[in-house]
Amino acid sequence: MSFAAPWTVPALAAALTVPPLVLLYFLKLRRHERPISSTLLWLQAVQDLRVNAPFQKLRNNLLLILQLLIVATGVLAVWEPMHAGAGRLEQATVFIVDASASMSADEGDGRTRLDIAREEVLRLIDRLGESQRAMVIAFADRARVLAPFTDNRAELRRAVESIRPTDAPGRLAEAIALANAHASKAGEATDADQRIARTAHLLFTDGRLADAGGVSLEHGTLEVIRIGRATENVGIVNLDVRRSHEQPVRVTVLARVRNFGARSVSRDVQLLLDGRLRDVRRVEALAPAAAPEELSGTAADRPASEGSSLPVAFELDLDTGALVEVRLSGADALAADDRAFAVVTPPQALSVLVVTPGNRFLRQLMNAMPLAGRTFWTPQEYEQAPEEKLSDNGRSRFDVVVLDGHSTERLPAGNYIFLGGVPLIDGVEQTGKVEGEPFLDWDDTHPVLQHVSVPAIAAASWYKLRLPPEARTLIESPSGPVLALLRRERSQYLISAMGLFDETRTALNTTWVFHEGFVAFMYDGLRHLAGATTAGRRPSVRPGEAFTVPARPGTSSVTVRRPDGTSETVEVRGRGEVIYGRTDRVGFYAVSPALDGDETRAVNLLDEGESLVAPAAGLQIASGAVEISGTDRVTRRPLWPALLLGLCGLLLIEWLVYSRRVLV
Amino acid sequence: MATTINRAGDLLDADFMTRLERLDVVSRRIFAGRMKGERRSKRKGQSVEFADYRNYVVGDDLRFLDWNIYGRLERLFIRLFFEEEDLHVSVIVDASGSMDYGDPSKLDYVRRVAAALAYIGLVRYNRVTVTGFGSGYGPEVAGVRGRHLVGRVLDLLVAMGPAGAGRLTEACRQFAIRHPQRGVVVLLSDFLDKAGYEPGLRYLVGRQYDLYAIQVLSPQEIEPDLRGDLRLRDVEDGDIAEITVTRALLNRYRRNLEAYSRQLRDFCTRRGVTYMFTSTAVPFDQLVLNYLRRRGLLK
Repeated sequence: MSFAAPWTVPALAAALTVPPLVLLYFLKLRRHERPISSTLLWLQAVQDLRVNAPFQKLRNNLLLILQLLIVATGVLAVWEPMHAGAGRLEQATVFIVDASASMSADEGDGRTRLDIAREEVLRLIDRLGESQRAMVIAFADRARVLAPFTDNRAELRRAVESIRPTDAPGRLAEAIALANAHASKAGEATDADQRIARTAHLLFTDGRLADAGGVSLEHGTLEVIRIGRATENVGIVNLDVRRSHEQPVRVTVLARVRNFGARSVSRDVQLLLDGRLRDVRRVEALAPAAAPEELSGTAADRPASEGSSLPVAFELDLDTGALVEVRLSGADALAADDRAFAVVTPPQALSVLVVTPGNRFLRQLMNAMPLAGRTFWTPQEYEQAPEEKLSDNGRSRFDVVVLDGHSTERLPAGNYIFLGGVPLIDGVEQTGKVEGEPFLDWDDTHPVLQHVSVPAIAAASWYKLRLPPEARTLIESPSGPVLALLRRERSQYLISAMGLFDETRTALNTTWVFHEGFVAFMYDGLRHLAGATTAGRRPSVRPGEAFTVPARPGTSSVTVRRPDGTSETVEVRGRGEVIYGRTDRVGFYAVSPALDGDETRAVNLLDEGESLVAPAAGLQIASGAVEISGTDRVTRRPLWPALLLGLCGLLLIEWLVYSRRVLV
Repeated sequence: MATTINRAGDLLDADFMTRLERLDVVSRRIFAGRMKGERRSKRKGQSVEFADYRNYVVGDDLRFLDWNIYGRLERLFIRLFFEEEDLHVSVIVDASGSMDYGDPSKLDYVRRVAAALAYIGLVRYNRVTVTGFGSGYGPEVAGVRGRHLVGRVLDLLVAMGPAGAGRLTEACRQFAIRHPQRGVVVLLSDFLDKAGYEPGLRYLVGRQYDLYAIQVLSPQEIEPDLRGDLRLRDVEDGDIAEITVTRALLNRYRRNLEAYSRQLRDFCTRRGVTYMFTSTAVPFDQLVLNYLRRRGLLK
């Protein structure tokens, strides 16, 4: 249950009506008694006054009319009428505009939801009084204050007009936090003469906000204005592109198409390589997600109804890198999820250096793997090898170096797998030995462990590891990490505290080497470290997320070409990386020059919460449910508080009329 | 209202009684008394005052033949004299609960008036009846005559206290039944009877008494000093009237009281009843010595 009116309204009504009523009640009770010789003349006088009072007939009916009015007012109030005029604005109003992907949904009249939201806000700004102030916050995955509290309407209008659509998911928390901060006492202190006594937050959204449940408002009231009516949308919710392990030129593109609307649809799914159409698949009769009346109440994380979500697979041979785009034909409410992008890297054969005093398991494993080159060195050879054989321009000549039972500080930038040893770098230490401990926790979603059955690993002992905080623990025992991944500058270290042999290297420390899980671990570990983690494609990011690209040494800035064709110059950070965060639209972002020529990254929506465009019926925030008013909220306002006030007034009048009838 | 009359001396003091002895009750009509009194009767009788002659008829008392005329005219004439008879003076005192109101109390006031009238009647050898009524008829001293019975009458009046809801009609009916003799009847009451005063007065009028209706009201009834929200309780029947005293209500009350008294006066006038109105604010000796004389009840 929610209350549209602030608590002051009923409090005021009670303060205005209850005391007089009680007073009258007590006055009547406290009538003094006086003996009198005869009431004959008094009764006659009272009767005469009653009879002679003007409009006596009307007075008789006045009580009836009043009571009828009271009943009618009550009935009307129960009916929850809405005022079809101008909505009232508080002294301080925060306009919070959702600019997430779903707000780009086309409403069929040529306007997107964001367009409608902007128009509504502009209309409200025009109605601001002289003393009323407002601020504008736009948010998608991040929130921005476009205009702080001001009574300058031109500034507010400019702020609203500057809101641009994004393809990022909607995250309300930051917007509310910003609003809270501006409405807080600390905020007021900066502007003491303009105290913000009460702030109304008007949130213009379609209600599809995944994090709303954790949001709580500290000051003022929150009113949600639901924007949008469109419900029909089909989107690509997943895209997986991978090269075959056995045949690196074979690329499988697997897309999942889901219908979020209430009608059954059929669509063509096109596969484009470097912008050219390569293949088309037909998706027939995608079942509706839900009945039309249920769509608003459907949660995004609800499993897809049967038949509403179908996979589409393409297979092709590709011996070069390529930009893959999967595109849905036809038009629907949201365009951002009709396209998905992936960057396929050229088939990469790894060059691996194995540093081991002698390990036939590793040797056989490496020989069995489809590698471009494999080199076996002893630890002494590794330490004594000339620099040029080990590195080129400060970077390792090998894609991955596997160090078996050897710790070293000779670590040019590159990828390393330590088995029973540690990189001798700052923050990493072997502090002792652990025996007979179970594994406590592990992350089997990580690509390195995704094909490994960790409970099946049996080991006699392992080193106790102390790692820097940024290290990601993949397997954990009670006394610390057993397997961890550490990224530092341009190097990656996959560190296993568990060696394959004991210290004497005469006995096996673990039987893991006999399991296929070890093979999978080594294979996935090599590919993950070598940057071919998902078998042939560079990871894509969500809109709003930043991606990192290693810059060519010596360059101070790079150019990023955005999907809309515009370019932007970005400075290279201290570590020789380019971090780009303005990924607000889906598509390809090309960075040039990167380490190896141009490098392209894909930004995909792939968010079922945003693809479900049907406006939500209600919004649940941590401080309680918020009723969403319709798109035309601005001109509709509940009248029941006014009716209730009127009812109290009528009751008072009725009581007075009744009392006068008795008294006089 | 507490009474201030606890003994006969409180009703009439000696000085006032002396002044009363000079007064007499006047009757506009001449009534037949049972005994010879100090009053010339309408009847021809045996007094010393010659009235007329008439022809003798068989059976007339031969003692009244005028022999001188027979000697001159040889015709028999009977001498007629004015008969002197006693007068019935009745005072009906309303002793209902409503009379025990006001400052001074209406009941005290009417008892004093009744005592004065009774005293005058007794001193003048009239037959005096004093009757009180409240919820019932009585007490009563009926047909007493002579100065020596003043004490009895006054004792009755002293003992007469407020007695419940007044029943004027019933009291008048009883009086009319019990006292068929004509005479002067003075009814002292506030006439605030919810059953109405008309039927009661009709009983008295029907007996052809020389009737005087004296309405006595207290200043508190004529100009109520009420204020605020009140529950007015009728001292007689406990009836409640809830009022909020306003100027309009007071004006309406005054107009109603005026109209009520006017109706009573008109009712009395049409039936030959002498109506008098007095407030207890008027000193009762002034009422008796001046007002009642002016209105012809006393001379």
